[in-house]
Amino acid sequence: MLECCGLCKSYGRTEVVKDVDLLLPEGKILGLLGPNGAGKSTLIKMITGLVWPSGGNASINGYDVHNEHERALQDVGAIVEWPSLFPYLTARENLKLIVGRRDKEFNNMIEEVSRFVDMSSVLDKKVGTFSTGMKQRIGLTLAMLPASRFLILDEPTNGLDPGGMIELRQILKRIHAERGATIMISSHLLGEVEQICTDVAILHQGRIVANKPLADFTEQRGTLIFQATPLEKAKEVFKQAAQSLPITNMRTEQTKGEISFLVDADHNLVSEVNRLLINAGCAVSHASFKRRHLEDVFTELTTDSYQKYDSAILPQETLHVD
Amino acid sequence: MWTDVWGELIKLKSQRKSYVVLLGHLGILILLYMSVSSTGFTGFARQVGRDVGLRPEEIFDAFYFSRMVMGVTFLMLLPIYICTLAGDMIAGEIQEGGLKLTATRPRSRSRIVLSKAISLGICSIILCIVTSLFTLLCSILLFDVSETQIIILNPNIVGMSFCLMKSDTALFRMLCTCGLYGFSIFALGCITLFYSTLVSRMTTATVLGMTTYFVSYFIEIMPQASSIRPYLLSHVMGGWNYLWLNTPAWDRFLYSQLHLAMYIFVFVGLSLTVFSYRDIR
Repeated sequence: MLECCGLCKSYGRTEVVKDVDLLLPEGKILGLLGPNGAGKSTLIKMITGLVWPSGGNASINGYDVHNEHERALQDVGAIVEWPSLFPYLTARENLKLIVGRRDKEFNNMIEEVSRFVDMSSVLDKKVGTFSTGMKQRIGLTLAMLPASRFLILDEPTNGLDPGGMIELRQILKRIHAERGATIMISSHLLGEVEQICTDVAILHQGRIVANKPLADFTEQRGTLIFQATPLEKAKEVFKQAAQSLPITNMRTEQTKGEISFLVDADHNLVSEVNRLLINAGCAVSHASFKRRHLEDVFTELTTDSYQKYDSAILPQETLHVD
Repeated sequence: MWTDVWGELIKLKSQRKSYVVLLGHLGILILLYMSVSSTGFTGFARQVGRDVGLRPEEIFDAFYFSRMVMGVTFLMLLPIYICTLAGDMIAGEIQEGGLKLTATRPRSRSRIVLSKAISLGICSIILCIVTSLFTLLCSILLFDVSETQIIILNPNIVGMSFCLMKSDTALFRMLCTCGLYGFSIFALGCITLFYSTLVSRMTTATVLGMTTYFVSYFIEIMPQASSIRPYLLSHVMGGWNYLWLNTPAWDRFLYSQLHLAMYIFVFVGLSLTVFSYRDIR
C-alpha cells in the first residue's frame, strides 16, 4: 500500500529526514514512533504530498504521491498535526468543503461514518463550539470519508484526556477490524502504539532505526540474565560474545550476594550464550530471559549510543564487573 | 472544481469579516451623510457649479452622493478587504492549518489555487454590485435626483477633472462602473493571492498586497513615472474613468481592461507555479 524509497528532506543545511525506506502492506496498523524532532511529521507530510522530498520518493498503491498526487491519494484520509477545521462552519459543511463533494451519496456517507464515530448528533453544529475530543473525532470522520482504505493520522491523541484517548483507540481498532483499513499513526505515546499497532517503525534523528512487527520488539528482544562462575572467565566469555553476537548493553547486578551478568539480546541467544559459557569451563547457576516493553526498546534505540541494535556491538570499556 | 469554488464562497459568506466590510461601508455612508447635512454642499461642487452655471442644489443629488460614498468604499475599503481576503486564502489557511486538510485530499494544487482565485473574482464583483445598489437605494431615499449630473474624474487618467451628463446616462454608467470595479479589485486580489502563496503568514501577504496598491498610487502622481504610468496598477484600476466621458474612450478603456486582465493572468499563473512547488509546513 505505502512504499517509501530513500526519502530525504533538508531545510537548508539541516537534514530532517534521511534516506527513509518504509514499506506498509495493506491491512496493517503501523505506529511511527520517535522523540520530538525526530522527523515524524515531516515524513508524514512527504507521504501525504504536503512537502516535497529533497530526494527519494513515496508511492501509495503504486502511484507516486508527488507526480500522481490525485491518484495516489484517492483512497487516503489524512490528518496531519491537528484537524484544523474551519470553526465558523458546521461539522457537515467542513466535511463537504474539505472532501469537495456535495452529492446525496456523500451526504449518506457522512451520516454513516459520523454514526460510526458517534458524532451524528452534532453534525450541524459549528465546529468552533466543539471540545478537543469532538474535533479529533470529526477529524477521524473526515479521514474516513468518502471511503478511505488508508488512514494517516499524525499524533491523533494529542490534546485528549485519558477518556478521550481510550475512546479514540477503540474507534481506531473498530475501523481496522470492521472496515479493513490500513492505518499509519505517528505518536510519541508508546502505550498507545503498543495497544493499537501491528507494526512499529522507530524514527530517530531523521532515520528509521527499526521497522518490524510489534511482537518482534516486545517478545523477541529482551534481557538475558546469567549467573556464572568464575567471574573473570565469565566476563571474558561475554567480551568475546559481544564481538560476534548481536548483544548490547552488558552490565552486572548484585542481588543477595550473587553477581548476575545482564545483556540486551534476542531470546534465541539464551542457549547460544549458555553454550559459550559452558564450553569456556564456567559453571552456570542461572540463565533466564526477561521480555521487555516497547518503551525499553524505544529508549535504547533513540539513545544516541545505541542507534542500531541490530548490528551494534557494545564497546569493551562499558563492560565492567563490580 | 466548481464544488470547490462553491465551498470557498460558503467560507467567505460564513466569515465575520465579510459583514464587517458591509458595516464599514454603512459607516462611510452615515458619516458622509452627516458631513454633508451639517456643512451643506462640498466646496468642490459649489466651485464647479459656479463654473458651469448650475446651482449647488442641482449638482448635489442622490447620484452625486452615491458616487461620493462609492468613491471612498471603492478606493479604500474594498481594496483593503480584498487584500485581507486573498491574504487569508492561502497564507492564512497554511497558518491556521486548514489548507493541510484540503491539500491532503486527492485534488491538485492548481485546482486549489484556481478555485480560490475564481471565488475571489466572484466575491469582488458581487461585493461591488451589492454595495453600489445599497448605496444607490439609500441615496435615492435621502436625496432628490437632478436631471444633470456633474461627474468628477481623475485628471491623471482622462486629462480632465469633471464632465456633465444626463441622469439616466449617469445611472447606467455608474452600474457598469460598479461591475468593472469588481474586475479591478479582483486584479488586486490576484496580486495578493500570489503574495499569499509566497509567504506563510496572512498578515505579511495582506500588508504586501495593500502596500503594492497604495505605493502604486504614489508612484502614479510622481512626474518621473510618466513612462510607466499606463501600466501601473492604480492607473489600470482607474480605467472606468474612460466610461464617464461624454463620448466614452472605448479604445483606451479596452486597453486598460486588457492590462487588468494581464495582471490577473500573470499573477494567477505565478500563484499556480509557486503554490504547486512550495511545501505546506
